[in-house]
Amino acid sequence: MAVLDTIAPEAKERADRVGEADLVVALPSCQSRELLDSVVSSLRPVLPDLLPNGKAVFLYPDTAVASTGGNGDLPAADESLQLFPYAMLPVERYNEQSLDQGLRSLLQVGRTLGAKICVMMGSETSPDSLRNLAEPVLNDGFDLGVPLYARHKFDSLINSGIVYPLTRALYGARLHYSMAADLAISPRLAEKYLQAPHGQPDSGWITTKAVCAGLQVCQVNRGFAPAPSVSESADVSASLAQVLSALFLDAERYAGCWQKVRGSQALRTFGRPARGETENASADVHVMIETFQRGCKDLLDIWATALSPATMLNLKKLARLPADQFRLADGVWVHVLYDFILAHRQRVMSREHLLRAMTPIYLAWVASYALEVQTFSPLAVEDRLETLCAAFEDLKPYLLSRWRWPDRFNP
Amino acid sequence: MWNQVHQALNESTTRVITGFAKLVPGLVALIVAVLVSVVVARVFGFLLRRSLRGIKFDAKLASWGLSGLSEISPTGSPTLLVVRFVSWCIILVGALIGIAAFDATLTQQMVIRLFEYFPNFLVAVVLLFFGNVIARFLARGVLIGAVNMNLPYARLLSLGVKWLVIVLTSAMALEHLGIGGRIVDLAFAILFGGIVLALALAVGLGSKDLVSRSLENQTIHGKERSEEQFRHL
Amino acid sequence: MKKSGSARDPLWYKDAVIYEIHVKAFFDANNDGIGDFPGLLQKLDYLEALGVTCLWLLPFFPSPLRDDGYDISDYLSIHPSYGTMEDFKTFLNAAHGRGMQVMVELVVNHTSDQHPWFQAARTAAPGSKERDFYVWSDTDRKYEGARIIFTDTEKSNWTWDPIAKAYYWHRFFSHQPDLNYDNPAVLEEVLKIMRYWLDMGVDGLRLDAIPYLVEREGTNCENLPDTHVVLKNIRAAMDENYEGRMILAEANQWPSDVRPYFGDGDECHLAFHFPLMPRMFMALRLEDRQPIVDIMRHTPEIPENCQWGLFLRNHDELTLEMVNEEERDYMYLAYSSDPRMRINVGIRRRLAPLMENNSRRIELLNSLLLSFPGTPIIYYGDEIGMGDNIHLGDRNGVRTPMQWSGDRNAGFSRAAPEMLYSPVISDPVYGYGAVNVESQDGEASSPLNWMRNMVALRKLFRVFGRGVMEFLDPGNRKILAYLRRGEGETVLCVANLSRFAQPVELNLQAYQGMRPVEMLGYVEFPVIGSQPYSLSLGPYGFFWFELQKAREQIEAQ
Repeated sequence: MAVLDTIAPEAKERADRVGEADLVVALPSCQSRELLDSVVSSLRPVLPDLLPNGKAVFLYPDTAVASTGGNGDLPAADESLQLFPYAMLPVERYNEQSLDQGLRSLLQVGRTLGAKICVMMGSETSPDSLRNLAEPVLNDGFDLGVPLYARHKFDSLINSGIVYPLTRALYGARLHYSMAADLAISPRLAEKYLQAPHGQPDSGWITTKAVCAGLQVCQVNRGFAPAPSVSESADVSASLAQVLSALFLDAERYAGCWQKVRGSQALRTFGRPARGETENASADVHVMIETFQRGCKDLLDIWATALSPATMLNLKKLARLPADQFRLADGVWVHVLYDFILAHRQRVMSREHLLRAMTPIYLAWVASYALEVQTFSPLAVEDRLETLCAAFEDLKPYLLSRWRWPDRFNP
Repeated sequence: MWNQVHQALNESTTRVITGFAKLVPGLVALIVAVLVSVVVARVFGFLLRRSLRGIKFDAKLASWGLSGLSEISPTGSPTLLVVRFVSWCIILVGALIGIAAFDATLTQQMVIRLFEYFPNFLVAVVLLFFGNVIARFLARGVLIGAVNMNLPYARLLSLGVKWLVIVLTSAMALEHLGIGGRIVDLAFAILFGGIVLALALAVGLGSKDLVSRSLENQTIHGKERSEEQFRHL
Repeated sequence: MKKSGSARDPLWYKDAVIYEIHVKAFFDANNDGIGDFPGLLQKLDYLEALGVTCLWLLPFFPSPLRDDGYDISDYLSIHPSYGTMEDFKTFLNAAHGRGMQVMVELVVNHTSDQHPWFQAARTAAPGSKERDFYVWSDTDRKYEGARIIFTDTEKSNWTWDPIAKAYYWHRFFSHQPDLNYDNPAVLEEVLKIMRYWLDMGVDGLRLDAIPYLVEREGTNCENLPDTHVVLKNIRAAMDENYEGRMILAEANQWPSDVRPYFGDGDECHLAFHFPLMPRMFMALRLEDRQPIVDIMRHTPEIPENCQWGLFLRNHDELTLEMVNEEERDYMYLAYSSDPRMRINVGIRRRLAPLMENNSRRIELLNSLLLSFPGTPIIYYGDEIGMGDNIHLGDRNGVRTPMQWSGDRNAGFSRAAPEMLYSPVISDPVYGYGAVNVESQDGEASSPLNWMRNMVALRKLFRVFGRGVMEFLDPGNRKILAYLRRGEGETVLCVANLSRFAQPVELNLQAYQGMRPVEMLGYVEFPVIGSQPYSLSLGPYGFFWFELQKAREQIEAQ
């Protein structure tokens, strides 16, 4: 099978010099020499536990050394731990391209060195994180370890409202953070990810690839999620478009896989879940509702190219409701998402415009959800999201029928 | 007396007939020129249609998101629109050549001027055409962006951008045609300024609301801004 | 340089959807009125969107073209009208880049009489190596047991050659002398040809007219044991050096006679199921499933790595060699009202005119094609419902230019209409004004989009290509119902062969508790109980059901 070998010549040379390694870790967030030093010295003690007598290689962004003017090996290097720089972008979760590129670099180095495991530490760099993620892959035969975060009820809303329920309904795996920036990857999955059947690698999320290839995926409880960087959270519309784009492209890529999946299965989860306190935050959502109402006035004809008439009618009704009764029914929300997936596939208009035009409806969902759960306990919030997931699964036949029989003549 | 009348009548009849006889070849030439140009237009139109279909012009436009073209001519595809336009241009040229067949210096001068003018005219039309398409595309992007930013005058803003581009391209087109001279420049400068001012007002009025809202949140309730309560990622 | 095949799975041909193309009829890129490889290259997007996975190219080699290219005068080049070898390679790589396989013709029963081998043979001395490339005789009374295949044109299988001063043997046209496989040098040359194309990266070879390779006195000269020795040699040579390639056998014979061509999985990978095709048409016209069920019951098991090739129509006539006298009469009466529609032992018409352009009938037959055990082969133009032209000679009426648009020459070529290799279809019903790709592309419910959706669905369920088939036996004989099982999937297909609505009760005891989910629209039907399962089907209606475990069963697990 053709594997696209795009490893940079310098890195290949370094890798050849190292020869073999059992563990390869990428540290894309270590953008300065100081940070790198401190992270390396904190991670070093974990290595003997993970891999007795094993050799490890850490990859850091080549900008980290350049910033101090020095080059050559870092003092930390020795027999059991080598470091070398690699052209690497800072990994942004949700950004398909940067995540994909970082992963590909890591896995290619891992493959060259014959590593037993590759770990991407895109957001967390703590020793616990490395240990917890790597252990299931090294010891329990899993192919992919993904962190599972506890969350406050108004956190990672795109994930709760779209990504998790949608990937769960499509691919049948209850994988909560399919776009996590921290991952532990087995050589088997790495090989699959790097395969290039038609001369070009299939890009897309590695989590989807693992699930569709029938590989073993597990989750690792990691407490509360680290806060996203400022650049990630700056613009809701841009973040949403980015996430949806990656998600919808995957849906197209793996159409053969998800059409066969029914229901969903829980994944093996390691570690103890953290649970937050009940927060009684009253949600201030009037700006979101206003945005939605404005969208309903101004973006109607754009929405109409994607949404079916019945869904449009429901949205118009919603826009007329007063704030205290503002509730976007799960069924309507699911229909909106499924219709957008189909419109994206059929390219009814510029894809960027289409995805961005969904923002007001997403904000309506956030507003409706926030109003509903503002007094809920964390457990009740989980239950509420579980109901939403069930709606996604129940309405999957609608997506399937329209996917298999694309027709503009819809209910 | 009768003789004089007879002679005068004869002379005038001869003049009329001579005049008519002089006119006829020109007329025939005109008709022939128009007919030939119609045929050429047909052939050229056919070839153009073929090649545009060949490069999937319609599909490409659609994939660029420029479906706005079909709004200009709802009955025909963009390909047909372009083909029709080119065909009519050719017929027009044919008619001009035909007119040149009349042996009058005035018409000839007019024809020469028109011919000199023709490339400018073509450029102007192309400018207008693409201006319109780009305007619609940008307007949709701005509309979506403005709604997402919750600007109250989103539609106005998008309309403003659309007209800004259209006015800009129109001014460029008129400039190419050389119509109006400085007056046009001046008028457009004023119009342009007006639209920009209107846009500024739209944004300003919109953001006034935004600013006061966030100030309210910060000062009166002493709470963090509402947007910060939610993390989307 | 030897290139590898493009398929990953060695059994790729089991999941393939094959599309049969005349290079000359598909698209003309250089405006000479004849389709060519650059034209085909331009239309790969269309083929990819259609969803077909393997392109079968009819002969494109240099040839006097007296039998539409099946009379080859040089096996190692491209006919100049169709482009150059470079054009072919470019096309081949582009097809592979899109994940499509390419199959070419290996016509090795006979050559053209213009082939250098034959020209050398006729002048060489009797008994010489050159002469021995073909089958010669001093008398035309040898091998009298062999039937004549082209009954309309040929009177004997022997033709006198005045230069050689001897008779030469030909099973087809008299300008197509048969090669002599008793001469080992012939097989050596054939293997060279095969390696030449496989080295280039071609994925499949269709072996033309293989039952007739060898002649023996006192036999009908078909399906002889020595023929299988030749085939085994060819296959062994292929397996020795190449991976992921395939041989498709053309043997117009009864299934039990075709069965030996699979050998023990060591001869051909694929073979056409010739008798099934006329019986599908017959069952539809009779509104009775019996002809189909009978022939499938008489179809023997084949080795694990082998597969039947299924088709409704192809570039030849709808052959009626594999039906009995009475059935043939019926087929002629039912499907060829005009005697000009008949040729040899068959009917030279396309699918849509055979179905009198009734979309439901066309869809029903295609649904059978796509769901029967085997690899479906779609003939170019049938996906848009193209018509034929019975006023053209031989089988040229079904080989007219592909109809791309309503423009001149159906968008096939920009040449002057009189330069086209064949006139386009232009009648009001099937003409390019009414039937063309451009108009059907954008219309969601067009025949073209129907075909795209169905092909996608067929590819989604591997059971269609790989599973076993089991007929159900409902009382209503107008209903054809069968199960496809395997690959962890079970699919129930039900087809109404009648022009009126029909009820049916199916015995699905073995699947009690399962839920049939209609596959096209993903509609859940009631769970199968202990009673016979009742269904009603509209005129020419069909259902494809995926039998799923009911939700309750899954939850219980």
